[in-house]
Amino acid sequence: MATAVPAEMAVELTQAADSLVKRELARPEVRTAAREGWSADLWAATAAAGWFDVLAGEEHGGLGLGPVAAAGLFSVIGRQLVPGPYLDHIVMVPMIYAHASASVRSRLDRARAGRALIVLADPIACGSEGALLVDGSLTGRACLVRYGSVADGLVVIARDPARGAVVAFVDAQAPGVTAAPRDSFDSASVVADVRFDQVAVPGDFVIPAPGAVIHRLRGVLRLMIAAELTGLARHLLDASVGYAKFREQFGRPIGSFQAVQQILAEMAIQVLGAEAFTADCAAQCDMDRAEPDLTDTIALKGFASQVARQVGESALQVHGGIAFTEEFDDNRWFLHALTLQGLYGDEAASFDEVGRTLLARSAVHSLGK
Amino acid sequence: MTADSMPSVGDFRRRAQSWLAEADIPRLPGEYAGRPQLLRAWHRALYKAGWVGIQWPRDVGGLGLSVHHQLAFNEELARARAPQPAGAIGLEIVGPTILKYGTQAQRDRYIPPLLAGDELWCQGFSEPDAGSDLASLRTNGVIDGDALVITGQKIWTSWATDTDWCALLVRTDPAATRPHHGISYILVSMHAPGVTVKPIVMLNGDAEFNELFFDQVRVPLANVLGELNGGWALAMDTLGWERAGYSIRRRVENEVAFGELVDHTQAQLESADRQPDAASATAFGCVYAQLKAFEALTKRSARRLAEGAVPSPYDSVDKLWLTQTEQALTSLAFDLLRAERTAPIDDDGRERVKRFLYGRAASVYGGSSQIQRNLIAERLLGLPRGR
Repeated sequence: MATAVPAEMAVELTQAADSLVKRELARPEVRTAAREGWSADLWAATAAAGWFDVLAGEEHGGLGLGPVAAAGLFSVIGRQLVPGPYLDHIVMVPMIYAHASASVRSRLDRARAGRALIVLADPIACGSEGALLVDGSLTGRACLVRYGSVADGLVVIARDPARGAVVAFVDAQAPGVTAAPRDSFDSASVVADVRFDQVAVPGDFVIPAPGAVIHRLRGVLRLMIAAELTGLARHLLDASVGYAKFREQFGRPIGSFQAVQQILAEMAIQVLGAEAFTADCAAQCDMDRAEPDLTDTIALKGFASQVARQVGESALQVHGGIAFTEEFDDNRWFLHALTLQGLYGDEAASFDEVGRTLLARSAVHSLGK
Repeated sequence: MTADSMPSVGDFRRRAQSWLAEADIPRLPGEYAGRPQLLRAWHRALYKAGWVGIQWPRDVGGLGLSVHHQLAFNEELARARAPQPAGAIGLEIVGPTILKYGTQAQRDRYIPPLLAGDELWCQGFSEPDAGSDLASLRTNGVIDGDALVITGQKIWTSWATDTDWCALLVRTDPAATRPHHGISYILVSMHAPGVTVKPIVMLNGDAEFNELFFDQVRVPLANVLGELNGGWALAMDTLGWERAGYSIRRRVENEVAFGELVDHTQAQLESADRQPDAASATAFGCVYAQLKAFEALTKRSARRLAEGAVPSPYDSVDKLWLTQTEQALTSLAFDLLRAERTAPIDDDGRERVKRFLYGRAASVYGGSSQIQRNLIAERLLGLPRGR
């Protein structure tokens, strides 16, 4: 996969993606559906625009634009709160594709073309145990699978007692697969718990992805979740600044009071830090490296989680009473930030992991060197 | 020098690394009093070897290279655990303002000895009653023939006991319609009759700050930088350089300090055969993330400095980020001292306490955090002027 793409190209792609989403969300039927967590029209439009080909290598018919361009898409997804299993289709599918058999690829191809939904069930994302794959039979539970009840196929990271982590492809219709949708406070997160009860997994449905590929996949997912969280935080900041200029009390805009200004300025410096950190991390993310150094993507995931949470809470504070009502639209960004905050470790879990890595015996670090 | 004939930043950085590896880097004593002399000698050694004035024009004795070369050298200096040259205030803050606003005669007079380390500078801005509200300053300058007669008091002037010149803000038009319209920026000899310096011992025991007293000090009008009564714009320019350039340098120093703290803590855990507790590990991870975010931000600031986009509200963003990371880092190192935090057993511990206490000043000096946030609110977010 390409690692270096001219920065202008990534910027152009981000701008085009932004206009596309704005145009689509301007249509009332798309907007209404998106608010409920799924718009087939919006999904089809983003698929047609090539979003699912951004990370895929040119040798597999993709655009090979690399993580900077993909992070640009996720910043748009965050800023405009685009619902859908984008992490799965922009990141997971192309990263698994290179290692998949012909029969799995034919299914992944349908997902890349926007004609099927294929989603990832990764126990690490929600800190659960994960399913067991023994002698071609998958048993166990996957929690909080994005669009798990409507997906056509699942890529399951499971445990094989003999081989450790393995990646298995499972058709959603396969006997023994049941999905129970969960109610979520976050309208932009449609999730289900999926049960696997002695699901037969043929040999060519086990994707021979080495451990490094799984690590790398998780690293890129963390990076893209951070990009989306940063986009959510940017929207919440801009919305709060706009409101503070418009809303008047004591005969003047509340944004003229220093008490409110201090909150908004603090939100701004945190968002600027998250944007810079995300962009740098994406620029340094080498998709081909065999031994991934994950410390920075974990640190970034924790940081972006912290920023989005704090900025979201401050946005509620700046908006006052209206913020605690259902009619306040920007709540949807805050609630989605809370969902993403919890995936792959919130700030406490992420910082703990980074700290332990740094302090591990004879760990080599590059700080100040 | 044209861009083509410049050494690449990478080559320049490697040359700096090999020179610093061989250099006789001064080890600063814990007591402040022993430091100025060593730092002055260090400045001269750097100048002699051609490491001072890297981004300054060649016609005033600089190397004519880019801001990126200067920043690369600053980073290597910090990584080599080498101190800044004694004339840092002149080089980073006052000098760029003289270069931008000075007459040819002023540049010729002040810049060469400033670069060489033969004349050191301090900055006389704050007053006892003019802190955040700098424009309300009252030190006055009265024109008498071809001189300005200055009377008043300045405070929080760093390193003033060992400097030769002061970049001073004085009120020269008390009747101006708005307070910042009546201020001049003037270059005053610290050896002039009527100048008195009184050190202030800080919370951490060092005496880096001073009070300055001016009693009928006569300064030639030719020493005014820019227009008479036009000093406010220059002061804002100076503060922009202070916030942006200083933040980039301190960022690397903080990264070095964090690396040392990690190494030290690793060794302690190893000798005690312990794992880190959750609270400490999380705190280390949190500071690491903040340092990374700040590093990413300062790369953008370097580009901004190279494009000359100073002062800018982003200087305030950098200043707040520096404050946040420095206080988080020094607090972590301090808290690891546990019960012995005010009475540590060794020099390493004492240094941690000093840095922690010095770190508390980061949210006050160079414009307090509240003021920086006000600037961001008005100039970056476009909010109405605050009340």
